[in-house]
Parts: sequence; C-alpha cells; structure tokens
Amino acid sequence: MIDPSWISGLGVILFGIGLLGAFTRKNAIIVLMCIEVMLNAANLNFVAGASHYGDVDGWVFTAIAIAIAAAEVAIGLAILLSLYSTQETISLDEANILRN
Amino acid sequence: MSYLPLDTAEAELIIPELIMLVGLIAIILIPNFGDATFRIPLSRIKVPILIGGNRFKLTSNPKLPNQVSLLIFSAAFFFGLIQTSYGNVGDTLEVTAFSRIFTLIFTAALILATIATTHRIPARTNLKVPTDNDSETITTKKIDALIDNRRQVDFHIILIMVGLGMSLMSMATHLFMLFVCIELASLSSYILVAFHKETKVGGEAGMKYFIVGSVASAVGIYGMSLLYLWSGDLSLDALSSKWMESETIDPIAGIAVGLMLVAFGFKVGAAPFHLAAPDAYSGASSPVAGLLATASKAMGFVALMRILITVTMPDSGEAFWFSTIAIISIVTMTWGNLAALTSTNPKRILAYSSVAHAGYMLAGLAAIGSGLASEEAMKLVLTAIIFHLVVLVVFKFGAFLVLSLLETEGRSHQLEDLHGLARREPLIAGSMFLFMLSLAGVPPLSGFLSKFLMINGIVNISAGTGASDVSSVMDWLISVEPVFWLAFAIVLNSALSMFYYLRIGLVMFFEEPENTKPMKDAFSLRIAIVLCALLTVIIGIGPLSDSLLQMVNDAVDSFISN
Repeated sequence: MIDPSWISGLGVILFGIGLLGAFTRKNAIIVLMCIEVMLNAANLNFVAGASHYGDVDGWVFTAIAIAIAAAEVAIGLAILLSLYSTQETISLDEANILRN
Repeated sequence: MSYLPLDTAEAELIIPELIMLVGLIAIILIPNFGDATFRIPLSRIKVPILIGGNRFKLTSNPKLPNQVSLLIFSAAFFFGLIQTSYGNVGDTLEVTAFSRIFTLIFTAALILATIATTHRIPARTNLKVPTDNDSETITTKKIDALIDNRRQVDFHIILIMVGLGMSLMSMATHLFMLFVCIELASLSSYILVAFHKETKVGGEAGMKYFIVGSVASAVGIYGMSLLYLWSGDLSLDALSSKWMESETIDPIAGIAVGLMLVAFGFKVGAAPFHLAAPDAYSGASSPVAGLLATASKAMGFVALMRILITVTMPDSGEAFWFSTIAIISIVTMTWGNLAALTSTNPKRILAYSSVAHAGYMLAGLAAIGSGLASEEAMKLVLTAIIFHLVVLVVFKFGAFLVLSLLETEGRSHQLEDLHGLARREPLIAGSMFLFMLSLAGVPPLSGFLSKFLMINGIVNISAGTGASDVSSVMDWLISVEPVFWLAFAIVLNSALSMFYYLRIGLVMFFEEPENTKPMKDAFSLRIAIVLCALLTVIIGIGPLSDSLLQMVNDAVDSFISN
C-alpha cells in the first residue's frame, strides 16, 4: 500500500499548481480548472487521512467535496456563459466595466 | 427502531429549518400545479395528476412565489423567536441560544430581501406578448416584464437555499458540516449576484464574486483537509481538545487554520480579500447586496468565532493568531473607510462601509485573542460583536432598501441619484439619514450602542496595562499593551467615516433634485424602510435594547460554555 504521506505530498504539489494558476492566469475557464485542481488536492488529503487513521469519515468528506466541486463548476460555467453573452469576453482583465 | 432520521424532540428544535426545507419543496412544486391528467392504458379512465397541463389560475399567478417565500421566512423567524428548548440534533448539529440568534438574523435579512424584491423584480399579471406593430422600446419593455415574471420562482428558490444553508451552518458543531452549509449558502449567493444576466454588470459582478469566492473556499477546504490529516476528527470538540493537548502549535495545524482564515476572511469581507465585494455589491441588485452585507457577513463571523475561539483559543496567554487578526482588522477598517471616501457610487460606498464594519468586529476578535481578556471582558466583546451583527440587519439593510427604492426607477449607481431626495420623499430621505448616522455610530442610535460596547470591551481588556508611573501621555501610550491601539483605531476610523456618511446626508438635503416627482408607489417597501428606521432608534435607546442585549448575552453564554 502507498504510504499516506506520498498521497498528501502529491496534494501539496497540486495545491501549489492550482493556487499559482488561479493567481496568474487571466482566462476564467483556466482559473476554474485551477480551482478544481485545488479542490482535488484537498480530496487527496482527505483520502490520505482516511487511510492513515482507518476512518470512514474521510471517504465521506471526499465524496461530498466532489459533489460540491461539481456544483461549483456548474454555477461557474453558467455565470461565465452569461458574461460572454453580454460582454463577449471571459478574460478577467477585459471585463472591467465595474469601476467606481 | 425509528426509520425517520429525526425523532419528534429533535424535529421540534429545528422547526425554522424544517419550514424552510418544506417551503423549498413547496415553492418548486406549487407553480407547476395544473389540470394535467393521466389516461390509464387500454381504458378511458383519466386520473388527474395535478403536475403540468394548464396551470390553475392561482398557481400561475406570478406574484405567488414572492408571497410564499415571504410566508416561509416570516414563519421561520417567528418560530425561531418563540423557541426556548435547546439540544443536539444528530451528531453534527446543536441548537443553542447562539445558533438561534443567528437564525433570527438570517431570516430577518431574508424577509427584508423578499420585500424589496417584490418591487425590484416586479411580477405583473395580465402581461401582453409583443406584437409586430410594437416599436422597439415597447417590445423590449414587454419582454423585460415577461422575463421578470418567468424568474420569480428561480429567485425565491435560491433565496430559500441561502436561508437554509446559513441557518444550518450556525448550528453546526462539525467543521465539515459547517463548510458544506457555507458552500450551500455561498454557491446560491453567487447566482443571486449574477441574477440579472441580461445586463452587462450582472455577469461581470457574478464572475468576479464567483472567482474570488471559490478560490477562497478552495483554499479553505484545503486547510480543513490539513486539519483532518493532523487530528483525524473534524468535530469541534475533538479539534479543541486536541489543540489543548498539544503544547506547541504543530506547523501543519497552524497552516491549516491560516488557510481557513482566508476562506472565512473572504466571507466577512476582510482586507485583502475584500476586493471583489464592491464590484459584487454594485453589480448585484440592492436586495442581494443587502443580503451580502448583513447575512453573509454574519455567517462569516460565526465561522470565524468557531475556528478562532472554540477551537484554537488557548486557556491562557496570547492566541497565535492575535497579531495577524489585529493587523488585518486595522488594515481592513482603514482601507474600507479611505476607499469609501473616494467613491461616488452609493452602493460602493455602502460596500466599503461594510468592509470597515468588518474591521471593527475583527478588532473585537483580536482583542479576545490578546490573552489579556478576563472571562468578563471576553463576554463583553463577544456581546458587542453579535449585537453589532444583529443591528446591522436593521440599519445596513435599511440603507440598501432605500437604494432598492431608487433602483425601481433604474437608478442608484451615482451619488447624483440621491440628490434632493428630501424634497421628493421626505420620509425616505429622513430614514436614509438615520441609517447613515447609525452606521457612523452617532448616539443615541443603535449603531452607537454596538460601537460603544465594542470600544468599552476592548478598553476593558487593555485597562491597567499602561505603566502608572509615567511622566507624560506619550510615555503612557508607548507602555500600554497593543490591544489598546485597536480601540484607538476604531475611534479614529469612526471619525473618518463620518465624512462620507454625512456626504450622503448632505446631498439628500441640500442639492437640487433632477426631477421633483415622487417616486414609485412601492407600499410594502416603504413600510419596511420606515420600520427599519424606527428600529434603528428603538434598539439604540429604550427597553427593546435591554431585552435584545439580554438575548445576545444568553447567546454568548451558550457559545462560551461549549
């Protein structure tokens, strides 16, 4: 069996990638993907914890976190779609009519 | 053995939430009731199935969802108010006086939002479909009205989900439950912000709020997973006892709490996570903005109190987050007030002012973590924080209700829209002026009382810390504990904030209005505004403030005891 610390180590790397991407990328869809990567990093931690402690809770958290991530993407894409239909851009920089 | 997940005693504890849950199902079903029938195969017997077909006259009324949701929230508020029994519900929920007062805050804010929505997204019966002969403007008007009718149900379904998520989160005793409920409420609030999707600002405000919010909550959920790796159990009791046991703070646990502070800091609008808030407020409709400024903020503070005070508060000595929260609070209030000074959009001014108010309350939390607070002083500050969250619903939402009234004629994005309001609508302008004074903390209004309690508590904590044998005021100021400076910052910032609150009052009374016609006759909205104005005064002085303070005191006692 894989040692849980390797799993959570992968989680740290994924979280770093996600956070970096979310702060540097301008395309909203890619930012959305980075958010998903971060959520999956959290899921890996839950899985690692569950197998380390032999605790069922961790698996349940993972399942629920996946459901939350799915809902978040559904809402996010819908919002981006409405943004695109009015402003014809999904760039975080170009959508800036809300100033003062 | 009972197959129901709840027994009667437990169900009685969560009547307000059950009302919202049943109401959520009802509001989805009711508008679909119609005369549809189902023919049993190979026969001529038709059985009515009620869902679908031509809708009945009552259920097809576009005003119905609004009335249903007003009824649901009022019932939830009422049953929350009369509730006296407390206890556990399952393993992860606990109803206490603390959770009850927050349920009241959330439902009260939602009642006001529903009333304002009646006029902000109006529903009209007997609408006409545009014909070929109509001019372009008439066609757009007709289509807008039809769209408004179509989305009545959508709006109120999401509003009830917000209420359900917030209300459940205040009674969660398990960190994961807390997070799921926050997600339910905040995912719904992203939709509410982007609700007017045909306008340019709607989509943009929603996108900004969504991106920042979901990055913050992804960071928070990662922090929570680290906490799970550290302790193996996420219930608040287990976490708090594990925290007590460990003599030094495990770096993993410290990082985990720090990451969770990011998520909750976004919810309360603390700097530097507040940047999306003004955009979201000004792009969203005023009732939604009011909801974000009051209920969403209260939700963030419940989460912060749970993680900072229930879990990581040491028995004695300084909490490890003291200096972080103290610095964040001072930066938040100063940044909020300075930005509000330079803004000319009333909604942005109110957004920044709510950022500043988050700073005041964070200062209270920081003072509790200073390690100098006696139990008495800690209670005093907690009372001040919760009391402030309660009265914010009255005067902050009241101000947003006034903006909602302006929005019914399509304006509220410039300070000019408020010009001469006193000449057009003396009562509304007077109420708005009261709200502004209360936000600034002018006695004897309720905003003063909460701010006074806060400063009193913080000074109480820092009392006696200055050296007594000093020769000048300067020496004393240097020798006093840093906690004192928090109270000092609040006082300075309050003085700073007077400028922009009074500026709103000034333009209402002394500028010439563009037109002098009275505004749209939005009866229930006007009633709500005047009621809020009355409450702003009554809660500040008089017997009602005492009984409210007593309620808040009970809430604080129940919060500290577990």
